[in-house]
Amino acid sequence: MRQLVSIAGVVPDRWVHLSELAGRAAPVTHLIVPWAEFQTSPADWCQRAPNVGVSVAADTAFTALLPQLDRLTLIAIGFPSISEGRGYSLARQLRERGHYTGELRASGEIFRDHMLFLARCGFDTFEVSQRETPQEAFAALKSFTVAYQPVRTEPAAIALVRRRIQPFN
Amino acid sequence: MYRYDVIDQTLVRQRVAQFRDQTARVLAGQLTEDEFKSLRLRNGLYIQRHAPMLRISIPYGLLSSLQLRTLAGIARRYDRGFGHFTTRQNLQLNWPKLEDVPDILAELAEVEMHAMQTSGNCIRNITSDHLAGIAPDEIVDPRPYCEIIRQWSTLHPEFTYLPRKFKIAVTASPQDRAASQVHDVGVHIVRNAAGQLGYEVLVGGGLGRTPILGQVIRSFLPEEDLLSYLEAILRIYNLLGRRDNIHKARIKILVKAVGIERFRAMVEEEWLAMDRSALRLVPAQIAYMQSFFKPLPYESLPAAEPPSAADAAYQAWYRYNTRAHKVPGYRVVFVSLKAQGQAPGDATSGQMEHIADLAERYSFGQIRVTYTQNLVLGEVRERDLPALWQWLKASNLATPNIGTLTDMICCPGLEYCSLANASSIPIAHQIWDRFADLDYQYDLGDIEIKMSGCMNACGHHHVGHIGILGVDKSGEEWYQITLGGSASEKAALGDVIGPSVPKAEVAATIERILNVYLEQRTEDERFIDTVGRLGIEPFKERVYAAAGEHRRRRA
Repeated sequence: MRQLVSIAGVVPDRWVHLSELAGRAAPVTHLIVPWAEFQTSPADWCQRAPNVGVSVAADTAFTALLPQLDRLTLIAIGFPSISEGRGYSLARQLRERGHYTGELRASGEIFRDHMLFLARCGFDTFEVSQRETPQEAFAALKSFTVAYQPVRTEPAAIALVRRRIQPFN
Repeated sequence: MYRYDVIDQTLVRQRVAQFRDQTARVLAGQLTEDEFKSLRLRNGLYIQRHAPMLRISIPYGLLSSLQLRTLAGIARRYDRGFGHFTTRQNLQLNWPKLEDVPDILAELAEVEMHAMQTSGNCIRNITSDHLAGIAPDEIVDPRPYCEIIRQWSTLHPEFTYLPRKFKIAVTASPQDRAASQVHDVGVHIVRNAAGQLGYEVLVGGGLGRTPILGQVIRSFLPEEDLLSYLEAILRIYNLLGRRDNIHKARIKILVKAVGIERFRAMVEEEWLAMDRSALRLVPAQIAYMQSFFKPLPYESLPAAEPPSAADAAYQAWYRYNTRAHKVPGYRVVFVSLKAQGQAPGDATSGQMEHIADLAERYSFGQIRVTYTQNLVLGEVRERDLPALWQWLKASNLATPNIGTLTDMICCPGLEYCSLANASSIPIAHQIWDRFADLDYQYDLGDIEIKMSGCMNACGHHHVGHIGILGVDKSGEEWYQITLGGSASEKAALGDVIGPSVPKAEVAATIERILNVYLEQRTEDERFIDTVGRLGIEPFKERVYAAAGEHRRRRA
């Protein structure tokens, strides 16, 4: 099983990409289907395994994903290069506009330097680059203990400047 | 001025630790140069012609004496004893060693400074009016809003890998002293008809290869919605800005491609759909930021008389290098970094220390950096002016030329920058030497010369009254001249007058242009207005007629 970085630690990955399946009919509990294939027949794909997610390119429109959000338990956004930035905005749209609560995964050229930014945009798991160490990537989630921007998951999601006047709740 | 609290201090220290790790990884070969590039750029570190170049952030151009003294010390110990103030109100060091940079950043962190986001494809240093808080014509002090934007934009998780760099300028006066129309976003603090404070927001301005003036995306945004609206603009840009071609990646290209109407519709849709509450500015929060920029403890003083004609040199300095302050008895003093023979915008460590001392003695310990590459002591008692003038003269910082021909904006050019096609600094020297007579400069009046060594336009040549662009023609340096540009509230892009001229001919060409002005101007008409009235034709004719004559004589 692949090592997966999550915001809770380095864990074995339960999910399998369609391309990694031994055969088209092989049994699987957690299956990630490329978005182009999933779209051809969403209902059928959802019958294929108890848990079905999709992998999407970073330039996928939020509005295209919106109608499918209820049936997805994982969305993996691809980062083909270290400077890919669209996935950060797509993640926030999924979380904040789409109220998507399933697993949000970043995959591709992910290094320790990206981790905290990704996590603060709503990602909770990370398939890091083959040239990155999962443990180092996980440790980088603690490289900053402060931030200026409000985050949905923080209990009092208010901007830091406002926290300052309501002494740091 | 704004002071760091424990949160700000923690953040910059953690950033230094992170960069130290990144530097160690590249030096140990664990990161490729290419991977390190996108990381170091986010800390202001370029690899330039001779050495790394470190660009240090000066938020909205405001420095304390302690900070300026620290910059002077860093320039002396880690560099060659001088620094270069830029058109983004920042400071560049041209010769630091890569392995020293983490230590430099650590020293900066101890005086509440950093180099975050002074380069790279992220939100850059927020710039503003260098007369913020002291300009008689301002609606409010824009700096609290600048600081709010600075904090929001610092290490913003969503906007750290934008298609391209993103520059924001904030002004709060009818007079635009921050070139806001040539920024990716220009924020104008205004009052609406009902007297409420808010913002006119411009988007899609910029210079570079494709100069465009910003267009109004919102004529009035309520005060509380500043950050959420900026976030909506940035999100649309981040999602839809081009990433396939670096020269077409700025927001101006996106706005031009879809049109301002469509762009506005997309931003408004995102803005209305997003959760705006978390970013809503509440009055107490704005008041908290304003508490850092309260009026300084001014004395109650009578307004002094302007100097008598007795001392012509002092009178010239007073006239050109000082401006009105909104408090009676005080003046704004410009420290000219444009002396003859000096690279425009450069200051030595000794000069920086001297200015830091003078600011402590005469101007509440604060210094402002202008985007035109001078410094300002903003709060000087009129009765202290003669003494301050003497001290500034002693360090070659009192050249009475602010707003004149020799107060040129100039990029580092071929001497330092690896992007440059041609030099800028030697051209500045050439112009200075040809027009060294100050009385001639005074007779010409307000003229803005802006010069870039390549089409990236760091020297803002498109918006110079006279713009000079260095180009490479089969290995030789040539210069293209534009006329009629302006970065003021009446912003305009200059028109190219014709084929570029050889390096040795730049100052002579400018003289021909100025001669047309001197012959054609009406009483008190400024150069830019004469160009506006006549168009570029008469200037063009004179320049190229002379060039034709020159060629015929040689033949």
